[in-house]
Amino acid sequence: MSNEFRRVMGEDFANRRITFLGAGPMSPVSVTAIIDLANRYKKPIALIPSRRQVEAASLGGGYSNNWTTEVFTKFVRSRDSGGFVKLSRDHSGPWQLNERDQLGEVHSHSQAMEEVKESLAVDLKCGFDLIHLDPSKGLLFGRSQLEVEEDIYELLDFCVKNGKQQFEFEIGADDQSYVPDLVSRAEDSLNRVLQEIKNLGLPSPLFYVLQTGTKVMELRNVGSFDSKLPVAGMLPSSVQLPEMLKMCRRYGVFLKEHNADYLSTTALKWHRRFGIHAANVAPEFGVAETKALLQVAQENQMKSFIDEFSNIVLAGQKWKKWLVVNGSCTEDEKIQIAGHYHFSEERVLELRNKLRQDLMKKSLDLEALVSKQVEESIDRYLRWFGYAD
Amino acid sequence: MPTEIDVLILNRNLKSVTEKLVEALETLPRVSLCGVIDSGSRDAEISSHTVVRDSSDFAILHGLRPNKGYDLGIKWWLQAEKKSEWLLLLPNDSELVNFESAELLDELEKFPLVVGVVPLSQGNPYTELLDPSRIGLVWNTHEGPLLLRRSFLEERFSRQGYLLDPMNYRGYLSFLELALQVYANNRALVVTDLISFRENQTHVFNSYQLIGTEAHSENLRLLVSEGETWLASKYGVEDRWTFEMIVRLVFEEFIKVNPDIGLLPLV
Repeated sequence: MSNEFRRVMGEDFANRRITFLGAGPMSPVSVTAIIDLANRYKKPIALIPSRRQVEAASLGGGYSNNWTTEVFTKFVRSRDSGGFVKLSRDHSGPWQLNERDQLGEVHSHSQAMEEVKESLAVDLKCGFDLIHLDPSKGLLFGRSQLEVEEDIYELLDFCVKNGKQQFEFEIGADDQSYVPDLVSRAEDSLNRVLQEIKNLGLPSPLFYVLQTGTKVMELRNVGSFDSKLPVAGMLPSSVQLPEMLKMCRRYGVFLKEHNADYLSTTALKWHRRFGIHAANVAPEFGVAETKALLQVAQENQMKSFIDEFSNIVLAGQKWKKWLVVNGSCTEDEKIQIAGHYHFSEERVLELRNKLRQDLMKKSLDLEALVSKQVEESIDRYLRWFGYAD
Repeated sequence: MPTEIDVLILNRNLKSVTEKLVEALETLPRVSLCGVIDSGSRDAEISSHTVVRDSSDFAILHGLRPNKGYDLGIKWWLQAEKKSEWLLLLPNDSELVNFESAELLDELEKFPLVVGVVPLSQGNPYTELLDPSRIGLVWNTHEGPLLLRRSFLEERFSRQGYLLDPMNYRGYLSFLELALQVYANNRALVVTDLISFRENQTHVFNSYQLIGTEAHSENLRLLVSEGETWLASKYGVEDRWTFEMIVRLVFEEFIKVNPDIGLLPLV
């Protein structure tokens, strides 16, 4: 196990009230920006591919740049000259990539576990620094909470036996709830899991994922954390968060917040003041890239790019899962929400290439313009999380 | 002699709703008085149970809202000849869910430091944290019904002339400020489900023109914008998080100073 990562999280982040950023690898632009920023600040940032974004070659790769885990790792390591980027698998668990087989039948538990082990074996071989073990999707497929916990032990044991290099673990499910976890309930679960991990002689996790009141819908964070008004049915984050952090300190784990996208600057400032140890942000950086592309195209009257790209995104319907029920999301917003899912499609690559060439004739560098905006979007988090200190 | 509760309901232009609430409450055990504070209603909408009324142009045009309205009622109550140990303040859109008043009042007798009780509505997550006493210490609760000890009200009115700041017109973070004043004075605020009300939101959504207020969404916008101005001018803090942190620290200090209070902090 990696004592170095744990030391860095303790001494360089938690003790100095700096919040560690986990950033989604939405595209080569965002990945490059993350690598550059980590090297500029000389502080680690985690790249957090989900299994759908980046996956082992044997499992077909992911939608982000069609990256396989193997190629993605080489891409990152070759550019990360200072070694500041932590490769961190997000939501590795059964049913997290494919829920069904080619005939439409739901994978059995054993099939789903075999598939995730195949994925994990490649992550470990590629030297991932952190693995988030998240079998919670099993709850949708008939597994009980205790059975989900059994899956954590099985996957952790698999990783320990197959990992040749140093790596750390993250546990805890992110149910994208609006509601902060009740500390007493979270503590029962954490205590039970840590005790069993200890009994089995397995290593303790570095991070514990807790719901702090963040939830992403459409292009905003609709959870209670960033609400200026009380939210019915929820305790205020200010009541629960300090207790969550005390609990994490008691158990020797660091609190990891998921779904921190689109938080206000005030909410980001309060990450340090509360002492939130780590936070994950993903779709916001993909949205920033889509917005930048469309803005550049708009400013230069490249209507054909806008029209065709928009049609592809709207037809793809990847925006559907992000919509608020009975909301009023416009077509423009749907395109911004889901544009990044299509960046690696052949026709979109052609369209982007043509846009790049058209802009070159005007002495404009499309990728530089887009990268600047994506980098600013990521840097907003880093500045308020304390990376500049 | 067992302690009792007096009830004051804040009404603005919803006579029939208010009368129903009075009828539901006035015969309940340990309720001594049930009256109505009128917040600038039209004559036809004034409750027959009204004990104090503001018919100023301002009240008729804008209404008093809970902070000014409750203050009007408390002032009247403190000057009344006969008053109970506790005063329950209710918005008129409250609907009775549970009223185990004897159990609550007898339990509160054991805790003289408790000066305020916030009844929990159904589904409030604090209910999941309550121990068998069904009373727990809190510092951050939503605004709504409020039960207050007479001695605390007498103290606050003699020292500052109000309970909930009337300058905070729409009541932004009012109960947080109340918690600050309670714990800063080494007193305690609790929640309970021994008495419980639900807010009937159909009135604020559908009857705002009849009531004479802004539409619900506009009221929320003004609640925040005016509330943040009030917060900055009174306390010099820019956001609710800062104010919450201040109150939490005062609360934690109270717990350290009173480790044997015998009530569970709900955190």
